[in-house]
Amino acid sequence: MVVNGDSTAGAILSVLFDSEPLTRPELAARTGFSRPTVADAVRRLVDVGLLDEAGVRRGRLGRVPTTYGVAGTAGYVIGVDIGGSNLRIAVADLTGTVHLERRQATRGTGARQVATHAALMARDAVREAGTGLGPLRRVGVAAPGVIHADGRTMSTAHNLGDDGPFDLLTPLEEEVDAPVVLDNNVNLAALAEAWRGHGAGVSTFAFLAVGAGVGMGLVHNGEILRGAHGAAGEVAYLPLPGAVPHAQRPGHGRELLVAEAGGYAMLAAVTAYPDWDGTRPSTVEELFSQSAAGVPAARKLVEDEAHQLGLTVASTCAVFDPELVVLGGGIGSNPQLLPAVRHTVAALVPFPPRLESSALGEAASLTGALRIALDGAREEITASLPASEAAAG
Amino acid sequence: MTEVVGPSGPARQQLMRTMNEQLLLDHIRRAGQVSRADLARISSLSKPTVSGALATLERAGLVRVSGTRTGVPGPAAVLYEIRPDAGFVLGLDVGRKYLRGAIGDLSGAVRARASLKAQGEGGHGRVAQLVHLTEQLCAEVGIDRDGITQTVLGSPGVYDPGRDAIALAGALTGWERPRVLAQLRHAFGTELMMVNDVDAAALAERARGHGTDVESFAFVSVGTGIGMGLVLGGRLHRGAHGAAGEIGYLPLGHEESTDERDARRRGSFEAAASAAGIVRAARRTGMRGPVSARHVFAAAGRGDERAAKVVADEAALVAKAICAVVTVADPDLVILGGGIGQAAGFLDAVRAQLRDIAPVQPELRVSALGPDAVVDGCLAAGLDRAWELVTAASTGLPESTGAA
Repeated sequence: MVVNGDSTAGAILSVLFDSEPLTRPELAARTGFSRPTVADAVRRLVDVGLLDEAGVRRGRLGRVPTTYGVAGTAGYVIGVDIGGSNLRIAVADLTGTVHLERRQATRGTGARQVATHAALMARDAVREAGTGLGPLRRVGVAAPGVIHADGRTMSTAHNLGDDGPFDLLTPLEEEVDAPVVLDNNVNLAALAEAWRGHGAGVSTFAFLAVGAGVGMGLVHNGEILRGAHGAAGEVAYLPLPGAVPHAQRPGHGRELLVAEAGGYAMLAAVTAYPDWDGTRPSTVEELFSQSAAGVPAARKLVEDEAHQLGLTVASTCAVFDPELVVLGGGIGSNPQLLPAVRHTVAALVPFPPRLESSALGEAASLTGALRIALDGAREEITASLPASEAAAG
Repeated sequence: MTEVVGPSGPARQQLMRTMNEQLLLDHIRRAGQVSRADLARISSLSKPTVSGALATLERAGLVRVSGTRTGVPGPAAVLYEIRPDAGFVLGLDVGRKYLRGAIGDLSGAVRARASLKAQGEGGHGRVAQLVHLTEQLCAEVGIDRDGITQTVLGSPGVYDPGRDAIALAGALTGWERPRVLAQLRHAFGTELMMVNDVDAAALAERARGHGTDVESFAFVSVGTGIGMGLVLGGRLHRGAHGAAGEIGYLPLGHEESTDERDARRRGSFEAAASAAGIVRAARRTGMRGPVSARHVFAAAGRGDERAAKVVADEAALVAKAICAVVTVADPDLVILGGGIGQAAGFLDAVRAQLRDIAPVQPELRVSALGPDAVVDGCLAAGLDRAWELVTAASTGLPESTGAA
């Protein structure tokens, strides 16, 4: 992995990024390097401020060994989630521990205004983090559109009120003094699910995000499947029974018909429902509550939604055959959907996948944004370690 | 160059020699024909080391002299190549109407081909016919059945570990009985590799069809049956249960009418869009007499309005299926195959429909491979495995446990 630089130090950092503080003998055991080599590398890492003494390990006879961990001032990362309704931001240290989280309602329309708002939130987060965590190393951004191959331009962000390609990166880069990396919010939610959710250890799975609309992140052999045009997972365009072809939709945007899955469609279905026993729900949350309480109309609409999602999952299985499908997003995470989705899938898919509700809820994309920021920051730190004077190994 | 850390003394020397042999084998395989000097240069091993390793490999029957290089200044250099007869791959394709097979050698050359018209229904008969075909092929090459290093069977469906049998075999009646798999293992050995037939065709497209220079593509076969082989990042994506590409089960169909029994058995899309589905659609428009998918396409070509409507509906349906593939996997290219997929003008009709419904447009091409595609894909799938078996056996290194 390390091209030039210090491979022992790199190995030690790799271990400590994802573990509690360890003693030098433990580090030697985990990395396979000799104790003197490890001791040497640890000293160098302490000297450059990447490691510090975390404490001592008690409870044993004999000498009390010192444990070493990633230094509290070694640096931090920022994750940003740009959503249609909310902007979320989090600050985490290099081990992934979150120190700060903020949320604000998305103001304004258009990608430019929202990007500016996100940039200001990032600037405020940097100010709040101060110097206590060390330098800002990287910013990861989850955005609700297709990210182009250049890594900076985003298209088709319907829920920001835009359609054309927009350079999302520049406003953010202007406000923070660290590299910024951008990816689609559903892809990042899938990554988060692989890191801290049901997808841990599963090499091939799908994350179906259901919010205002639907989108899917696919993980193939542990990596996000983007597709030739960045359109892998654009399942809102699946030709399901009753769906209207996208070229014929009014406004070419997310004005959807009842047949399509997602929050907009559910509320449209409530409005279109002929007779409602009691007050019509005005939010999807209210619809779910009424369904749980046994209101027949509410229950039917929830089942209809689950059926549409089931068709989406079945289509994904026919093409991709994942081991696991996780339902997430503000609406998708609701466990009420699961039985009917499983029922539809079982009827259509010869070898059904495991189906779960995401436990990450609305934090999924933000968690994914932190993940890519962490990956980038760790890689850069490891790659820029100066080569040791003594021969490696 | 990383230093090899290991035991020193005679045992280490043994290890070094077999590692050198493996290295040289890979170089010779890649280069086709090479001289000793070429090998020394490419491998950074000394000429005496190369000579010693080559001698061992020749004795083991893995490498042979192929000729001399002339026409350049200096003494003629002796050229070495992999001995083609060092191993053989048997590829078999079990279809509903025809059984096909071929034997390829370790250099990748096809040494014999044959096919038989399938007789009778039922799986048992087909296994016996596959054995008969195999014997014919072996006789042509001049080897015993024991001389086959690896057998690969291209079959509809997927292996179902729950029943220890083949499942989803579509129109191949009787093939899903556990007895059939047992008979196949008995006839061809427990090392028999089974590949879904459409996946095998996709491998052939990757090796020598339209898929040679793209990162990802989907090979969609529409004919008597329907299936897809998906290649992502240059490798076949089989899926968690080997069922990636079972697009017959997409929830698509003719919303006005479905043959419920057929849809339950092999999926709504396959029931609607396969040859049988076209025949049913044609009958619904009032077409009488002996009707086959071929008749319908021919009639449409002659201007028959009812037939033309059936073909147009079929193109719309296939476009929907391709749209599903695009919205999930977004491959660079979609290759259309099978009797219906390759029908004249069909691709253009599909392309026109796809433009209206898909969020992005993949490249679309008709397969240029013929009926041998499945067998050739099986040979490609078996060759890497055969190589591993032959070289590990001869040089004494443990076989890799990773899949090719």
